[in-house]
Amino acid sequence: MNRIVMSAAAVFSSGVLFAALPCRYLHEMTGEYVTEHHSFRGPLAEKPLKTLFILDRRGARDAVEVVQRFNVEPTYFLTIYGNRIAAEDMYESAWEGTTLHEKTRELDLKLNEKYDLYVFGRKAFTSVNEEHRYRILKAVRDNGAGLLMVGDTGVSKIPYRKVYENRLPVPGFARSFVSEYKRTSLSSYRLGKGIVAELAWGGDRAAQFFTLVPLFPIDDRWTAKYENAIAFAGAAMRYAAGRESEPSAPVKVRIRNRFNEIVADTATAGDHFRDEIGANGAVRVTRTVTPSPVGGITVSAPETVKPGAAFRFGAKWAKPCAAVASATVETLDSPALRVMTRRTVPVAPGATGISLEIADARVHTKVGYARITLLDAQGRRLDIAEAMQFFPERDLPDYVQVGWGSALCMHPFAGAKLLVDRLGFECGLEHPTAGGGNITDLAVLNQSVVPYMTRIGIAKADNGSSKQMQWFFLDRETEAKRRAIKGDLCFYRPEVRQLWADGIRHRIRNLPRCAPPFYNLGDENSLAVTAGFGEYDDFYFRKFLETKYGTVENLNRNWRTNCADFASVPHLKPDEAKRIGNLAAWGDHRAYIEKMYADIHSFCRGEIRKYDPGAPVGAEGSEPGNLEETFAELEFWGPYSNLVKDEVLRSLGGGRIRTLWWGGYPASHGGRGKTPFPVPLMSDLAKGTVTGNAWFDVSVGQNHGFFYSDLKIADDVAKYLPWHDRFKDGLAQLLIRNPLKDEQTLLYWSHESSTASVGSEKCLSPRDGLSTLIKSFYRNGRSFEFVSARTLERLKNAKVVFLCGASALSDAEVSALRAFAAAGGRIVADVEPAIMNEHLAWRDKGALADLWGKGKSVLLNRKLSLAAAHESSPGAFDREIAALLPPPRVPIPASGMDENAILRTRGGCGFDIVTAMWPPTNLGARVPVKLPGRRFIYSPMEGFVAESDVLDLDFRKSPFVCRSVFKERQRKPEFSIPPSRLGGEVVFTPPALVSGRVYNLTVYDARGEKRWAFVFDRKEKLPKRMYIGFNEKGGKWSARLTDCATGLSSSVGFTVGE
Amino acid sequence: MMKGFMLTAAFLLAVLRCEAKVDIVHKDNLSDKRAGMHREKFIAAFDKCSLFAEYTLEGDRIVKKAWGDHFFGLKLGYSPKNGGWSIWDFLNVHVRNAEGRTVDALSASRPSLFAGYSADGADFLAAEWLAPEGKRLKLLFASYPSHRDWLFVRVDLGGAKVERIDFNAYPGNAAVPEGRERHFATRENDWILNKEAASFKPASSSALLYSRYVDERFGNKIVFDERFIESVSVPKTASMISVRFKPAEDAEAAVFALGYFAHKEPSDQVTRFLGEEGDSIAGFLRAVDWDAEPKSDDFKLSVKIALLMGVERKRLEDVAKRYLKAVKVKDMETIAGCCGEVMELRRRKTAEELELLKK
Repeated sequence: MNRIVMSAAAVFSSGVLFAALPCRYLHEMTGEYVTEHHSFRGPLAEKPLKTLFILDRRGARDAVEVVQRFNVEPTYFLTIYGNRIAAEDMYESAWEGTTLHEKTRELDLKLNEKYDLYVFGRKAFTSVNEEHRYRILKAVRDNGAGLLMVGDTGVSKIPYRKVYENRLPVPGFARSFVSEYKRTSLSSYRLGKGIVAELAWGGDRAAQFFTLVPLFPIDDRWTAKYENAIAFAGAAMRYAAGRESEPSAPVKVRIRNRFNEIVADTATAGDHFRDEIGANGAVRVTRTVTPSPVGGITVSAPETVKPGAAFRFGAKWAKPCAAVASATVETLDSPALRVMTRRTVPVAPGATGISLEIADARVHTKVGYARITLLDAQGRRLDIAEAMQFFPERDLPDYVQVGWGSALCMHPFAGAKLLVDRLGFECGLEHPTAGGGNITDLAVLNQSVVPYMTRIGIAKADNGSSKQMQWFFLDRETEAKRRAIKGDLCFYRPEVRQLWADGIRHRIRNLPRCAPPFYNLGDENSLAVTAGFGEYDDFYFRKFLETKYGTVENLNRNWRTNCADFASVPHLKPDEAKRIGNLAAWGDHRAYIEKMYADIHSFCRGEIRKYDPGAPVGAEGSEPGNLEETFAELEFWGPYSNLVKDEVLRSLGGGRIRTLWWGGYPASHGGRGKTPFPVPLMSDLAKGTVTGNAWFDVSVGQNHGFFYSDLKIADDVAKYLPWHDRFKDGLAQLLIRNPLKDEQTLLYWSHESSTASVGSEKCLSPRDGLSTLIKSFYRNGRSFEFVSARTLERLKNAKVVFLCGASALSDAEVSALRAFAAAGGRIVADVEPAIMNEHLAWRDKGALADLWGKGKSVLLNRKLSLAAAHESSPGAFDREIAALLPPPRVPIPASGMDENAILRTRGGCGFDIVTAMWPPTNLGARVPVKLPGRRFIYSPMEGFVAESDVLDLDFRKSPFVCRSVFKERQRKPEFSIPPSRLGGEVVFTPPALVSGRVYNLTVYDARGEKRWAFVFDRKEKLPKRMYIGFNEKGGKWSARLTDCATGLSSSVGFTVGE
Repeated sequence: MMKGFMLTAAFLLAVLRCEAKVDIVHKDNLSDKRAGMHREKFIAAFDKCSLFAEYTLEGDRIVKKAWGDHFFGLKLGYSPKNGGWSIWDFLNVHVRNAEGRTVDALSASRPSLFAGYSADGADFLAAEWLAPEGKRLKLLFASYPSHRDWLFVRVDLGGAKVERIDFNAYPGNAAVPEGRERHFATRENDWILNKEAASFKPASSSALLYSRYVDERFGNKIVFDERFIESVSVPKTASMISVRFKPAEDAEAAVFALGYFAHKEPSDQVTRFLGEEGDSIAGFLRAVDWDAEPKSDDFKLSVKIALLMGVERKRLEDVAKRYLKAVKVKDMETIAGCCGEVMELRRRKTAEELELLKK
């Protein structure tokens, strides 16, 4: 070992203030990400407005939006949320520059510069310390700088009376400036040479991801409203800085409609926005409302439409209008507003409505609009009306990407483009707001939601009874009912279960119409096995025993008691049960709590499915309880970074959705940014323990976040992107859809034995042997599966089963194992198994004791962890284990692998996929793997590598290596797409499909931008509904089909006629 | 590293911050039976914890005859019934003496250095003890405002030959109530210390000391840099948990972070700490700049800000002159005093001006 030097210089480069990780994304703004916008810059070269923005960093994007539109030279001071500039906790402080000390110093330095203007966005003036307040007010008073305070609802007052002594009249531009809120006000005061102004939007809700604008409903009018608000903020900034605020001649005038499109005039009914940009750079936006020639239109269309289904569209208007000659009825997707269907029908003179059947809206997004436009004889638009519609379709990708947070945790439309379209985070975890409002908003942005319905946590009440940890998911009425319940809140009480049911009913309102891909019952759910000793618990514990044992005689046999009936069975506290040596009673209490834990999950799932039949439900990152029992009725259960249980879940959990939050953690979970590789995700995908990528979290301005406040992707996250894309585009699906090779080796999973090892020091923990074996199998590339009491049929196809610390096995389990041994199978045990039954009642001797030394079965009589740690020569333990296994069916490394390396082989679809992980801190190795003959080797998603009988696992550049191995040379995939037209469809003829042979079809429009991407390996996942909008660009489109296993791809061009 | 100044009386050193307080208290009048003896108590008060070392001396000779003659305690996450990190003896550093025997250097002699200072936004305590063969045992303690619930500790291994470092705690309660299980958990294992001792080569960097069935809602957390540790052992116990670290042969120092939980759900704490928080603290611990010292940049910046604020130039020039003079002779007390003076001028200016704006 090299001498370890504990010098700070060895860890950091110079200039680091704190013992924390370098971080730019929480402090800086780059302006690199530009959104679509309209410029408000004046015609003359105006001196830029030198501005210090002091902003809640979650909504700081607004300032960039101002800078995009106005001539502003910005300096940004980004803060944590709330009335403060910094927070200090384990997450925040992991990043450099985030402590109060550092933020104070940062502002000290920034205030040393001179500014024309200081802007506080969604930040109270009192957030900064008194010295900073004085320095800013001094700059206003003595230097003539401006101070603008902006608040989404109101603006908190500056606590110095003198500031408000000289009130100024409301400036002319502000009196008529458009705002969506009636209470919007711009107040201003003269302070010495400068102005202090307050822009209070008067919004009705807090806009936590904005700083300079209020909250607007998420729909197709949001963009125009946002444009107006940013313009108002920019104009207010100019005014506060003492610039001329009335547009001077010549004034440039521009008209925008409610969809933020620039139009020639205001002839069409409805709202229009008139932008005036003066020669002096001053700006005003006013609203004009053109009355409807038909007195207004009411659209009737079903709120929810099954994709592809027909529906009736109706429109009625208040009065006939001779000018109306025809009506165009369109369906549009959201948020892109592509016109998917269009039909123009004549309108008879004097008519006041139309009704027609739309056979298929052809909307492939979660939300769309059914729109009618009344036209005159010359085709001019007279009036427009529309209805929002939901197109629920639960579509769960094989590789699910879910972010903690969503596009609502940032500038929503720009965020959706990045998060959903670019990065493929199709799902976002969100707590549903009242009535599911935020879930609806997300659907408009075409992001699916994984609703965080509840968080299950069995905790111990003060009196020892079981209780739910938090009841945050109840509405007010149910909460009042909860408070009124007398006695313990044991789940099994009917009135308590009703609380759960009511809570689910409250949270699920309006969610099914958005077709959540799955529902989440919580993360870090937990159970306290020491809880459960309340009055009601005692009752239900005895019920539990009755179900478990059937007869009191059976219980007495196991407990070694003499109870007359179940009612007289004592409910022993754990320490008491142990003290008197009644391990069965001790274990039964744990089993009772574990059953309750599983039952709460199952109950909630049932309640959810009452409202959304067939919905997958589960939880992730949670205490497992009795793992198999807990996930038995759930479709979704995430691993929890436990070597053994993650593999148990993979093997016994079957096709369940399995995700694990990783990603944003700066100092744990592998620590983001330490290497340019997404190591935890790579490792879990290689092992097969996850089926998705769950990033905690994607919200802007969060210390675990994905983005800079201006929506640039954080630097360390950007380094992950090449791998992120490879996984998303097909590599992950390839690994998920191809099973690990079966080598007929089983590890025995006995939850009761794990419990026994906690209760008795005579029992070895199963974890000891299982984790040692799993690591050995990992580094030697050997396959294994688990078997348990619930899956004993797996023994039929096995050759070897390992029993590790399997102290507590039932008679049925013992019989099955005996039958397995009798049929020629080999049982390998670390210590004497089956010394108890499944109730933790001791047996006189091990129920399998007579097997050792006969046939193939072996009792090692050793702690495997010790055997592995103290092996006689390097690799001796692995060789000893290998000698007990059936002959390998997978490629085996020819030289030693790193102790913590992982080598897994998948197969079954006519080729093998070899995936290997090497510790990322120790790159540089090359490991040859001998193949059974000459093979054609490909790198998935990349292409041909070599024809050889040796697979070269090269870890010099990456800790993750994946190769596909074929007997024959592979060809490029073939497919065809005939010409199409605007309003038509892309018709794709795929190659022959074999389950597990994954393809990626990506279609590009005439501008070369990605229009669709599908990853599929079977009929139900085939590309579908590739409809081309009428308002898209025709011309030369193209598509590329990639065979993910080989990385070989073909491209075709096709014409889309205008 | 800033050190080299001895404290014999109450001493306060602050650079831009004024939170680390170090006191040394003498007590001469012990009982009649102990005439000629006196006690010295070294106290370091950090933001949320305090550390105190108490020695009984007869002349210069350390006396350890009765209970109370020596303490080396830590009040961090203290819980009723004397629970938490030992308030009597939370740290032992065993060094080998000339006879080849190991002794706890922290109790064998009184500190030869016990000095507090602030740097890098943290409060530091530098302490040294004489060790065999004229060597010195150097310890650094640091408290960061960002991690107020933690105390960071560095044991220098480059001087005295350190054989073992013990951290001692009574999670929740120093008594031994019936039925309580003492647990020591790492990510890899969870030992019931009432039944068995723990001994292992660390594979991860954090451990939790907690109890089951009684005193469940309190526990102590310890994080270490496993690269510098050869092995960890914890004796079987029903009372005080002693976590014993054997340093790695080639390590120059061993670093630790001490924390706690109180009034929290134990199962949640075990999961969160071993699954997440421990890693986070370990990352922070690895990056602590133990060599941090006050920089003149801070002073210059402070003066510049004061000028911009309108503080009288002449007064600032006067302070600056004294500061520069003190820097030349490394007079840390004056350096700190000058920094504090400029801060005070800024504070007063702010208060005066804001008062005017209030009227």
